[in-house]
Amino acid sequence: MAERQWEVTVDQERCAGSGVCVAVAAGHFVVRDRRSHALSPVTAPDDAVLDAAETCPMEAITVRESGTGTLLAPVE
Amino acid sequence: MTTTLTTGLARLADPASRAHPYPLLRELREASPFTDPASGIVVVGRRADCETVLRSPRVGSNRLGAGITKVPQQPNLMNLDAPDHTRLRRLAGKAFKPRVVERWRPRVRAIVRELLTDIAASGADGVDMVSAFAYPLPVRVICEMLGVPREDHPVFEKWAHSIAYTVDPQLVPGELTTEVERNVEEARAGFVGYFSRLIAERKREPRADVLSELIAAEEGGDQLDERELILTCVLLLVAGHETTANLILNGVLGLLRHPDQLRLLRERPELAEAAVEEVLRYDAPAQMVTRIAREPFTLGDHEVAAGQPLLLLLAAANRDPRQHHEPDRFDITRGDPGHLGFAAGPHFCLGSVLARMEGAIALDAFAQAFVEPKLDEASLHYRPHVAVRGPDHLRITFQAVRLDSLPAAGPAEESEAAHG
Ligand code: HEM
Ligand code: SF4
Repeated sequence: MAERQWEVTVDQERCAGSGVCVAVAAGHFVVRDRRSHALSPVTAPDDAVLDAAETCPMEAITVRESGTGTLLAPVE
Repeated sequence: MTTTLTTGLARLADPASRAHPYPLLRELREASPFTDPASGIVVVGRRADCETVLRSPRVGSNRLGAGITKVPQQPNLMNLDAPDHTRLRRLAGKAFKPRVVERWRPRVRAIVRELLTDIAASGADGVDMVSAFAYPLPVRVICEMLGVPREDHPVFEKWAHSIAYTVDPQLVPGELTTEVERNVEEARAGFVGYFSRLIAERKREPRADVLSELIAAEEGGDQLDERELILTCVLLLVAGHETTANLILNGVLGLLRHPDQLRLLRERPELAEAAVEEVLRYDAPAQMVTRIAREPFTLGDHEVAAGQPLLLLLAAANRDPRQHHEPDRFDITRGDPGHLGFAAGPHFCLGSVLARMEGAIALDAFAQAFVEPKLDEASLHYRPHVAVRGPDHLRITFQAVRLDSLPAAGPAEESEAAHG
């Protein structure tokens, strides 16, 4: 069975547009008008997305497992 | 043209331009991007160009052996690229996230109150804001967070000033640096020895501090080695020290030179956060950063070659009229952040949340507590550092210090364990 997809959200209120996420997980985020946006809100599992959520200085990125809603990051 | 530009970087390097760098920064910005013929550095000053470079995967931050800085670099966070950079940032960043930093708010307020109490108790009608207010605050905060004993703070002062030189770019080839280099060597050796001892102590007896957390990561195996642990501690201690002090001092200076803005902040304390953003824009504590091109690319119509060093003039970009309306006006109600005071991209300041909180609490307290503060212009003097630029002397006079006007902190105020 295929792995469950991940849901990636960026809280627009918290995001400071730093672009750390774009550098850490290229292809998953884009900064537009000083805010980051997830390029695909539902994506195949990729550890880079977890790194982005953990390194975001504003804790603006959340990664959850599709279906179950289990929080994958940030957890640190 | 070329000669003017070359003298431009030389004039920037000259400590005589420290007090008023902005006319020169404007010239450099408007001429940029260009390659300085003497040093080979690509000078980048426009806001859009700075942002492009900071966010570009074609540039790197590994400046080891690149000769772009006055003194050789060390493989700390600032000089690493992915994937090592990402790994270390995850570890070091934990302690500086909004939720963790928020827990320190009462403690930061308490330290500000302690410092103002001492100023009031001295009975004098004037004070040097550098030594009595702006420096002690960030040093006490970061030391308490890391878990560095208070009685050790004085030994750091000199080392930290020296280490602040390590980010200074070598603007003029052959600029005499032996003394600077010697001081940096001494400071580095001092810090390494100091942290080695402290780490050994914490290994025996872990506590609830950032140092013990990082040690746990080191002992956990593959996440962090001992050298990385020490370099991270030194960086954390130093990175938020001069920069935050300069944020507070540049803020005090801006407010004293614009009495209408000071009055506004006093009447509307809720503007403190916006005032911090305006200081970060108008008089950036970190005036410039450097990068190395990893591949060739074009910036505007300028060709950048692989391996070429780049100098990003953040303080010039922050006053680019293409981005900011009336950029040379200090206006705490501006409400258009979008400055590059904390840079951007992978190395975006790790301590921005903490710096913003300390800055807002300090500027609010300054506006509320001092009655009739006046700047003693003759006392104002700048450190020679060009990248992390700020005063080493800034005396103000006042009629009184009103402690009752400071916002009350929560019950945790007096507790050093507020972060527990
Ligand atoms: C107003 C105060 C501050 C300013 C203006 C400031 C500015 C900056 C800037 C411009 C950079 C990027 C350097 C580069 O791109 O080469 C940076 C990086 C950094 N800052 Fe701050 N900073 C401040 C306060 C702090 C504080 C309080 C800390 C506390 C720990 C801190 C820790 C760091 C660290 C560790 C880095 C390196 C991040 C990396 O390379 O990934 N800073 N800061
Ligand atoms: S790292 Fe966080 S704050 Fe920075 S742009 Fe991405 S989501 Fe926004």
